[in-house]
Amino acid sequence: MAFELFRFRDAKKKAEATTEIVSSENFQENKPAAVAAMDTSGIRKYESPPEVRNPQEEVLVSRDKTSSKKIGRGVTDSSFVELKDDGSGIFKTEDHFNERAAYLIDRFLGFNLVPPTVIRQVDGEIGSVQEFIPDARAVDELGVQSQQNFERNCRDDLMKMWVFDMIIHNQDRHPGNFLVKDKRVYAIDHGRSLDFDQSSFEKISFWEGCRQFFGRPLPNDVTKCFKSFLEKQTEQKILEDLLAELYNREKASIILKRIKYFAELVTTKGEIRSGIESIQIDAL
Amino acid sequence: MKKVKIYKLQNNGDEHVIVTCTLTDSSVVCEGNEAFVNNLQTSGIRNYTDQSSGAMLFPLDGIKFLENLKYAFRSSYLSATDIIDEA
Repeated sequence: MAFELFRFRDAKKKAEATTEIVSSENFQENKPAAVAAMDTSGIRKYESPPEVRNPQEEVLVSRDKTSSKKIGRGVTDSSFVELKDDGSGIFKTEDHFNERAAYLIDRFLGFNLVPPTVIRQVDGEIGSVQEFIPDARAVDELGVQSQQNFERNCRDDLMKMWVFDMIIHNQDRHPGNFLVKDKRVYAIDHGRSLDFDQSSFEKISFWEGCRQFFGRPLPNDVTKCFKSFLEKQTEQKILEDLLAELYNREKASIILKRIKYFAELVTTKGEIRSGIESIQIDAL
Repeated sequence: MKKVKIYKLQNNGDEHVIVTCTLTDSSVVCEGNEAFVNNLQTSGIRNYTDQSSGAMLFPLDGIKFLENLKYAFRSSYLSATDIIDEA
């Protein structure tokens, strides 16, 4: 029953504006007491401020957990958690800051590939909870005709994901960690990304299946997203502050530089050419 | 017999086996979800245990294919076991 309710509410929410402006007064007044009481470890600092918070983040961060099951055959430290009245998610205690950071970058760019992801406490452990996407399929599950449809219908999303992966230096994109549903791509499992030291930051990573996109014009949607991001100095600052809470100020600054590098490149050239395989940070 | 099972996360949080890959003589036989099995046979998987090799691995590659399945399928929604010995 919880899933049916969630799916109905999810569809309703997605039909409405994706960004809900909530005044800080309303937010404090309506926030469940349980959330405030939960904040013994100071995790509220990881929450998005009201003016940029996605409504689904509120569900993930505030609803009580009703059950959890270990998943992933022990390869990843993940659990499937059901949330009271509304929804379910994937809870991870490893690389959880990378998961949250990837979501934030995706959200502030407006790509909408990564399911909403928050940092919260579950059963005494701090980790990331990412919205579970029911009935989604991995590319490997698609038959020949479905794969052809996927390549035709989801090409723009794939190109977006390719650029996104280069920004976050995703070292682990493979057909098992992006999902397809209703002609949309959902990018998941970003634990092995944003792993910056000075040497790795100068490299980029992406799924080899996307190599075909070098030199191809990027969808208008991607260019618009980057243009919009470059124009919004306030949101850039908010993103940088949120990333600084997850990592530190220096890394947050590097990530912002990297995003702006790609934003400038795409908005001026409309494409990304091969040969970009390393970025000299000193040149930024 | 040496096997690897590939699990898919269901909507209720259970994980169901969608494909079982079994080492038979020197090659692997995959059974289960038809589309998934077809993709394994035609597209193969990356060789994670030998990064220097750019070649893909296929069921006909036998134990190497079996060994690499757990690296190829290790996401929250799709995960492969290590090699197990099962009758």
